Amino acid sequence: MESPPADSRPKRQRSSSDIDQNKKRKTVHPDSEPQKTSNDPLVRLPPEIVLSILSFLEDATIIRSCAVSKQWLGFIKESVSTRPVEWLQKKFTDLLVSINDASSESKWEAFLELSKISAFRPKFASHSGIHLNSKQVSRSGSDVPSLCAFHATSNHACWIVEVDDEYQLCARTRIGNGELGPLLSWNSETLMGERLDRISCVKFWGVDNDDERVVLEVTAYKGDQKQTELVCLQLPNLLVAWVTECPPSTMIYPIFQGIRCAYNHQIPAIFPSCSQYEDALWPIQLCIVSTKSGELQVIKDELEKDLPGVTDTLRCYDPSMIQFYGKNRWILAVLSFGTEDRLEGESGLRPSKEILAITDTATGSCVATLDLPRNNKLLRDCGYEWDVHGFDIQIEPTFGTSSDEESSDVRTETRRVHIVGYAYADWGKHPSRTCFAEWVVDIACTSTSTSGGPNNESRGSGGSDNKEYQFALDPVQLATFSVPDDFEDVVESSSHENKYYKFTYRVDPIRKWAVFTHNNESKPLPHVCKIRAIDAGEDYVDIKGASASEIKRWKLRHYRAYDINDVSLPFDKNRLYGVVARTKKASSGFFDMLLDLDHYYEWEKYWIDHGEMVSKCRPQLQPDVLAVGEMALFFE
Amino acid sequence: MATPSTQATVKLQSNDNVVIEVERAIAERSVLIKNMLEDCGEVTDAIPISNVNESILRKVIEWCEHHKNDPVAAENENDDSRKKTTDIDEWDQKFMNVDQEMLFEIILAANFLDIKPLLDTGCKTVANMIKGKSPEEIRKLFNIQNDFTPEEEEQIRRENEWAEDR
Repeated sequence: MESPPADSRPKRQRSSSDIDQNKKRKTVHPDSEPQKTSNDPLVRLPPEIVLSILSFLEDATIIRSCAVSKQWLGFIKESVSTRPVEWLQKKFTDLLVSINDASSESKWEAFLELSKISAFRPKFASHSGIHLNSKQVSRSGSDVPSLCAFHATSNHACWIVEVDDEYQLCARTRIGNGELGPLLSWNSETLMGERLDRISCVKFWGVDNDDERVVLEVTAYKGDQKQTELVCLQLPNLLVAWVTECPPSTMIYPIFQGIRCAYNHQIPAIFPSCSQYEDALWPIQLCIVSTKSGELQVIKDELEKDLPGVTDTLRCYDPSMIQFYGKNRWILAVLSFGTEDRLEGESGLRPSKEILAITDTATGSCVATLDLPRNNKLLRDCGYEWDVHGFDIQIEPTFGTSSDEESSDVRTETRRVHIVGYAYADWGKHPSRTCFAEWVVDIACTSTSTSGGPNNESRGSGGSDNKEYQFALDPVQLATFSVPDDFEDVVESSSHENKYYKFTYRVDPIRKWAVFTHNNESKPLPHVCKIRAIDAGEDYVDIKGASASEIKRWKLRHYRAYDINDVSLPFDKNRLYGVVARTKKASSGFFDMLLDLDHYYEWEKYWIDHGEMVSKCRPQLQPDVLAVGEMALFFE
Repeated sequence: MATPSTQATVKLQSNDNVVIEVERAIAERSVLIKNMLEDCGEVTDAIPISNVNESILRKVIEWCEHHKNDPVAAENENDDSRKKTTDIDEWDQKFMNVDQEMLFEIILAANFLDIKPLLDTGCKTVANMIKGKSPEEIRKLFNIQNDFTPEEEEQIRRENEWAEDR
């Protein structure tokens, strides 16, 4: 008869005396015998009592105590791994609320950091980039400051903290091997050269292509006067590289809502600058800031008068609707203009003109504008007024190739730009009807090695090879298509007491996918999350209600970037996944967070790094930290 | 089966064989003794408190006498409330104003006798001693040898510098 394997033999149950013996062993410091006078609590007291003592200490002291001795280090590392870090959690919960209007990426960064803090990994400070100024945060008493705003990525963290009625911008970065750069802080005087009452918020607009600069927006107040500046911090030490000078005095303040500083695109910041007009803000300039020099350049002054087809009766409709698309060399911006009191019985602006502006990022200059035609009959045929709510822009990646002309000095590139605008019949509430309008624009870019070359009004110059570029703009197509009425059914079924609902579209202009979320303001969790195909005329497919085979087909067709057949992911092939957040990983590109759209209430998340699933996580927080209204598709 | 006891006093014997007679109600501040009396009924012999010497036992009894009318906390009372503050009332502060040796002995006795409020007071006292101190000050306070090399100490400092004062 075979004897049982050694490891299958019954194990002796641990007795309490074993535990006691273990405790005794644990509590005996190797050096305790010769150190008769030592009253090290770790030596004198059993672990559970030491834990009890630690429970009365604030976390900063505990962390600091790691450096007392090796025994303290080991004990604290082990003991605090499961310790709730209430004060940090509170701070970060607060910050998540405070960054409610931040980008989804910011939210996710903060969310991830919060998860790390919850786990309280002793070394998290080395890896996460979060470094609160403990002097400001940990001291007890009424002077405990509040964390006003926070943003972190894997490499840097910035936050604003209020200390003794003074608001400080703090920043810290990670310098290779987990080492930390110095903790830096600025008050308004050191940052902006003027003592201001407070700094209210900080928003991050991204890191430039070389991962050398962080661009953020800081808003400060002096009395009732608001001052908003773009600040560039130079990595790795986050020294202030530049602070934008205020726009010309005609500006009340700029609005950076349209700013873009994409992670993987060498594009500068671009934004409309606004002035106040009858309690409303109107963009009157289009500005650009180079992330290299910090130079603020006005692309278009007197915006309303300087663009083709824009007359005195037109004003830029809504700066928040200005949509940018940056891809390598160009920035495309769609500006919507409207006329006042266009509708009988209603006041305010109604958009009536859309303009595409193209900026050459090499020069920072606006090289061309294009008046996007409207087909008002088509729009009217949809049965409602055209009321633009937003745009999405995308350049068709496979369209057009570089080609050598007869002269080797001449090269022409053609790109096809797809623009989809979407409109609601009843703006601000759930749309009783919705439609999309699509423009397709071909842009030809001819470069020559000569300094002269053909010239026209939309010429720009620059580039690494000193060639000049000529743009030819040929709008080739306009199509308008509406969304069927059952959109309304979906919304109605989830409506509650006719409260205000936010309804958000994001559209993939090339593949004609529209993701829309619908939520009310009090409950950010979307009630509705749908994906619709908007191509093929009126042929709409409701993915959520589709059969499994249809879902799979759609996935294969439209989610090629994450074709589940190509990667070894434990995904349910009968479900649909959408990308809702994208973050940068320093060493290996992007993490994409996929949301299981069929089970969005559960907020399953998958972090994807180059097609490999890194982790699947379930958030510990309420899902409203997500930018649910900003759900977006990324197909690049 | 144990019968309910009506005895007014109990005898406690320290590990150095000193017997101290104490009111039962005071002795029952110790959950250990209380359970023992409930299990055994009448106990005429001295109850051996093997881990506690006379001086510490008298200190513990002194504490129990002072707090004999305090409400007894529920066994499953949430620890959060007690952990929110390290405040110690004035009498307890004076009571705990002893040398470290005795402080630790009181804590150990409270732990052994299962007197949670006294244990908490002792832990809070130690916590208050540690609070706000640097590692070097903590070492000095408890006479702890620094067994880090300078390089190790620097590494620890770097790892945890986010918690350091600046």
